[in-house]
Amino acid sequence: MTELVWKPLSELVRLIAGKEVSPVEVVQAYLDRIEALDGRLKAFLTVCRDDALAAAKSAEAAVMGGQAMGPLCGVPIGLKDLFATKGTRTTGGSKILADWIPEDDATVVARLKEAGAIVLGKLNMHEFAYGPEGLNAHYGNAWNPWDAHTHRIAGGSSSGSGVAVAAGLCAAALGSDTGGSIRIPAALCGITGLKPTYGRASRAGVLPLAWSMDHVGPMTRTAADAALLLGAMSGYDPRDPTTSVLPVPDYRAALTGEIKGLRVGLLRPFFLESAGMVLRQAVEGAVKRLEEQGAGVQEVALGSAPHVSGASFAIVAAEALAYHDEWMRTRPGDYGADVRDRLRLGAFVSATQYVKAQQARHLIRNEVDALLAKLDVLIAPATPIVAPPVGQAEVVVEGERHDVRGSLIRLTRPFNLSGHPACTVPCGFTVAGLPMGMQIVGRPFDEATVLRVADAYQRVTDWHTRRPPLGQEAPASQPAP
Amino acid sequence: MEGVSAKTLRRMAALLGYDWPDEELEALLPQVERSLEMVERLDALALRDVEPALHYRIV
Repeated sequence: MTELVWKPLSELVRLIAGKEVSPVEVVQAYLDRIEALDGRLKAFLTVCRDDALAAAKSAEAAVMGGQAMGPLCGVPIGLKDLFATKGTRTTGGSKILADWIPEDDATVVARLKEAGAIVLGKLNMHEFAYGPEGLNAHYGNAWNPWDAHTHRIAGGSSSGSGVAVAAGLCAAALGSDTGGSIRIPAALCGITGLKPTYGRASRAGVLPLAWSMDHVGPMTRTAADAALLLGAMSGYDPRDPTTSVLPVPDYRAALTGEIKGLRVGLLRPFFLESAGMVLRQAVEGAVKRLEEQGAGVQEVALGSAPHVSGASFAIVAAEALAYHDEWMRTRPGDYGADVRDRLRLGAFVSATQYVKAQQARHLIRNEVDALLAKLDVLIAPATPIVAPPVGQAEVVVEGERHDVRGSLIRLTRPFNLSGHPACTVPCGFTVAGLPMGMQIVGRPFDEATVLRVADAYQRVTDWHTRRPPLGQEAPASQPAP
Repeated sequence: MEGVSAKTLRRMAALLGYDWPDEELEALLPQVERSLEMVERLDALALRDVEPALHYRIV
């Protein structure tokens, strides 16, 4: 199997620009790997083989002809299947939209294509992004590549994005994040996932789950790759009134490796305390590495955190049902049972409760802002658990039983409510070889500092360079969902 | 959470125009109770003078 599929984005761009590698060769390498491995992994819902090869040939001609190249020229990416793609079906992981072919690209897709990226295909996800397990009753469940024998969840809802990047089926991917849907699969699949500040990247052309909580962002193998992608996709968009007019900085320029004097807050109560011992030790170890690089660390608390679940539930449930209202009247039987039930819950949230949840959100956001007035970043585990087997409903953490769904979103959704940027990076592996993730949270629109810390950590660790035990073996058969 | 029953759910769903099967609403009842308990805990916060969050930023 070619090493090309494991190259960082910037290295791929350099090789292509230097005419050392053709974009056609790169795209073909990924297509071959998808062909070999995705029968089992189920990361892709649609592979755009012909379009990707055609785009690669155009890129090759442009390079050979000496034309100006975008910052992502020839880089093959995957898109969670809720980003509208002109002429290519966009299912949202659902039966309801199984045949929907959009007439336009989502803004972020158009921007990445303009920068030279090549879309390899559309990626698996929890139906309509409503589930942190990343399961899909209609198209089959993505397989977490870190366990070759047991079918474990990839985390969701951007499960296919997590699997595809971790398994080397694409160089990078886009995901969306309403309660952790970028950061959870990033943590469970051992990759880097960035939820930018609300308003940093356009949601136009992205199927919504809950408008006021939805974010879109990059899922990559490194923080440097995330910086490259974020720079190309971000910025004001008249099609999304929530986008900011603040200029988009050069995120790569922020990756200096220098974090001396940086003020780091370790969120212990509610966050670190809810994680299992091994995960807790991994995050504490990671914080030590930051300290060794000159960061000052202090332990802090987010007192309003226990109210996040109530506020988050009321907002997401109400907004999600509002979007699905018509289909929930006319086609309820076309939803998977789990998503249908979650959508139904929205009917029992009153208008008063919705507004109270938005008031609570204001308090929570203010408290995160207050912490970050004295600190540069906050650190917490991304999830309190590692990837459980598909179908497991409960986990035991430190002798206590918890439901898997609630555990998965517990530590990520505070920052969907608050809107702050948060990046997950791998910070260790269990003895069973399952990845663990750490979140780095920053001030609004200060993705540069978040990425600088993530990159500095990755310069002194090698967790992000590890590869899942896949080889190129023939895929084992998987029972139909 | 007091006063929620399968009958209440049926009435609320019907009021909103949803024709959802009784047995499925009954099965949903424990989830509704748990979820609304979480929401009701927000009453412990001093929210009277707090404006709802608006994420639209003019910057």
